[in-house]
Amino acid sequence: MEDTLTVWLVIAGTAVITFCLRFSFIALQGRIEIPQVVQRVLRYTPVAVLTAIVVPLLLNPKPGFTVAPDNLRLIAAVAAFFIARASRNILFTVAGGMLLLWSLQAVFR
Amino acid sequence: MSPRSEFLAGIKHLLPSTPGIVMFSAVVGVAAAAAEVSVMAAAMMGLLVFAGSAQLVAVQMVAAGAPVLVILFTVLVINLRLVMYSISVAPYFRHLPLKWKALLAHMLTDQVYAFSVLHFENRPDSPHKHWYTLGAGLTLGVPWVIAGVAGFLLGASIPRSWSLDFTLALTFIGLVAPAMKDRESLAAALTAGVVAVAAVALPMRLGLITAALAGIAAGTWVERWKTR
Repeated sequence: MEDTLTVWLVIAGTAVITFCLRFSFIALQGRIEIPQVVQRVLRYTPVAVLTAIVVPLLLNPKPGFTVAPDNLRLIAAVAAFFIARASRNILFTVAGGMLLLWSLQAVFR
Repeated sequence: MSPRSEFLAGIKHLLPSTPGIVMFSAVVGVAAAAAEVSVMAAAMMGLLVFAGSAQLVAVQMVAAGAPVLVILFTVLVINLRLVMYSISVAPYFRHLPLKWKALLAHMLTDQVYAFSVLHFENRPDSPHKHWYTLGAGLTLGVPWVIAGVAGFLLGASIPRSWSLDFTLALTFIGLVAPAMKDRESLAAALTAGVVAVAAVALPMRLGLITAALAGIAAGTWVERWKTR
């Protein structure tokens, strides 16, 4: 397949934009001082962002909002949440969650 | 911790995430094949961009024949959250040479960022913590590029019924659940989750950054309210 100029412009542009966003404040650190308040507030970023990614994935609300009552993934995810709280171990969480999902699928599908 | 043990810790912590990453990248590869770009273009994109949602949307917009500037603007909006990561992680990399900073910046995906910051919080004074991020970044980055090419060449050859994409959600749960350790972080998580669902229909994945900012605001508000 022959790539058009458009394809390479998109790849180059996407790469440059993404890198600049990531590098921005890492590069500027030391030259400009990031206010303490901002640093403090951003402590909640990991928890907030990860939850914001995961919850829609689980409820799968397509625009228009549908929550399936037979959402096996949601059940496995809730169980995985408690495995994670108890074990503080990501491998256990992933393995436990997958095993539970496969079991639920074997029983209900 | 020595550079070696930091590096190995980064690998070890991120290994459970690789099935999810492989599935995600394979999906992007399949989309790239459908958009009729070359395998070289698909591989370069995985290597140089290393940001799943942005790659997927860019590829789909190329297939739809959208203008370059519109595609790039969309990518910019989707990836705005990376600026938050950059600000948040910057103090930890303050002492590093520019080359290291650039390398680590390129590896700052959602997971590499979250794992790194949560790891650093427990040991802010470790002098070799950048090795952790390098280990984490390579553990996701290498499978990311390979799986993208594999997805392009093989198509969707892993059955959907295996539900391997679910490991991505499980990784995030494994990371978030123990991090909800006080009322502030609980408020941040709950608010972000609710807003993310409510705002899911917003274009250009703006729901994600809206939800993240709402969560951060909620966490901060509870913190102020507690200390008053």
